[in-house]
Amino acid sequence: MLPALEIQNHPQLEGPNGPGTLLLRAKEVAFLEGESGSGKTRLLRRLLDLDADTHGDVFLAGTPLAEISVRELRQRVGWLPQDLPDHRGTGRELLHRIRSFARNRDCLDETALGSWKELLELEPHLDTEIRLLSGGEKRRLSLLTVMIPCPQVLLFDEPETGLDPRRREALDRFVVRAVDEGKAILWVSHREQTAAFATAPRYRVVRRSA
Amino acid sequence: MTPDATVAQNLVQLGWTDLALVSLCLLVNVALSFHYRLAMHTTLLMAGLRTTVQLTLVGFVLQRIFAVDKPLLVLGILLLMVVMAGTTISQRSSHIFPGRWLVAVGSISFPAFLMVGYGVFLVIRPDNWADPRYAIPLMGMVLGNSLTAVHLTMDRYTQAVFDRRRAVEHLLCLGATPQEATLEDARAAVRSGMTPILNAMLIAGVVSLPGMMTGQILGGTPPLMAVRYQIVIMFLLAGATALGSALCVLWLRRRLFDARERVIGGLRAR
Repeated sequence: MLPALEIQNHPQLEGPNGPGTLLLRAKEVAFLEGESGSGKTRLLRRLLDLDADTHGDVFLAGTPLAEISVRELRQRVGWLPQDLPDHRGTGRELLHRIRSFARNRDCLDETALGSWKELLELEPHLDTEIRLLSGGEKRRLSLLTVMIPCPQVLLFDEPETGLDPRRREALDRFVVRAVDEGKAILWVSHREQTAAFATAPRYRVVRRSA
Repeated sequence: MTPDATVAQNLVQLGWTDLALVSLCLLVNVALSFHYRLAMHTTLLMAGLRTTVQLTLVGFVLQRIFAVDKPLLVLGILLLMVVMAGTTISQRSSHIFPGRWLVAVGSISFPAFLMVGYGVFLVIRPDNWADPRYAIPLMGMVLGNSLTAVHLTMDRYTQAVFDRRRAVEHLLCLGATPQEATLEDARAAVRSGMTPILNAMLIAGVVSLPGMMTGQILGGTPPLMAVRYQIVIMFLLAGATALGSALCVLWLRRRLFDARERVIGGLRAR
């Protein structure tokens, strides 16, 4: 089976598959580590084609990134940014808005959304203005939004930051369930991993002087 | 009939000393700029200078144009006015990005020609459409207002995309098209562009006596006729500003995103 996400010849990447290479299959979690400022976030943005960055060759299920329409790319790859940007309005309004995007209609139904919401224990916070939410609440809201377009590959930029031990457990359950449903997860982190993912492959982004 | 023949006799004649006296008003702006460090004194002085020089020049030009009957000349002047208006917006926009001159000139010129054409051909219907007494002042008023509208709209929208870039990108990655990701900003931008003319319409005659009407009354036109002209103008202005703002936003939201639906790299704060 073709890897859900494949990176080749990336000048900053090191890992179990040799320099420059990253392979991530469906139902797999891989960690991406590296000092702050080494370019981890930049790599994620590259995978979403958010910058005119052309480092490395990226393939989604075997197809080069440049040959995939941006419409399809951003439906198939979900992104959890380091911080949820300050969107206007409440969490519920944001969820409603994202579900109203033409590309997302008929994707995640109400029941599925509800069960993710329950797992994240978000209901009590959904009517608060987003800018007034705590860091952990924002992160959990962000986790919920990322599921709405039904992505196959998830890019998580340090999702565990700001979560207390109980929420951290919920995050692990979230990831386990997403993986069970067939998602592939690339998880940027520079922390010790919990036992649940002790065997997951680890990649490193190393700084390169220009 | 020479231009000053009807007007001059019942008007107080203004001399250069009177103009020098009124220019002292600008010193208030300069003083404020100094005191609050607004860093605007050069711009202010330049604006004062340009007002005087440009108006004087246009006075000469209008006197000449009014004396001859050349439709092409009138059309040329209208075109020049439109390009100048767009260039001013492009030079003064809060953010720079490739292609902004075209967006500015395009957004301002299409509605202006449409509205002035509508006003001249369908509403006022002078014997000679190229009579410079109608088209040129109408265009001047339309441009004066739509310049503000397009400028406000452009700044508001580009600022939103620039300042809230992370939020816009987040929505793009959650499946939004650029249109969907900036819908609220687009609405806010059009609203802010239409605010000045809406305010002017709401207070017309109560708080403010519009410039053209005042001018016509000073020139001896019966107030009721001056009022009718002012109403025509107000609606033309409303149409031109609304169209200009809408066109500007529709254009910008294509211009500020590239084919891969990402914010263009050339968008920078000035």
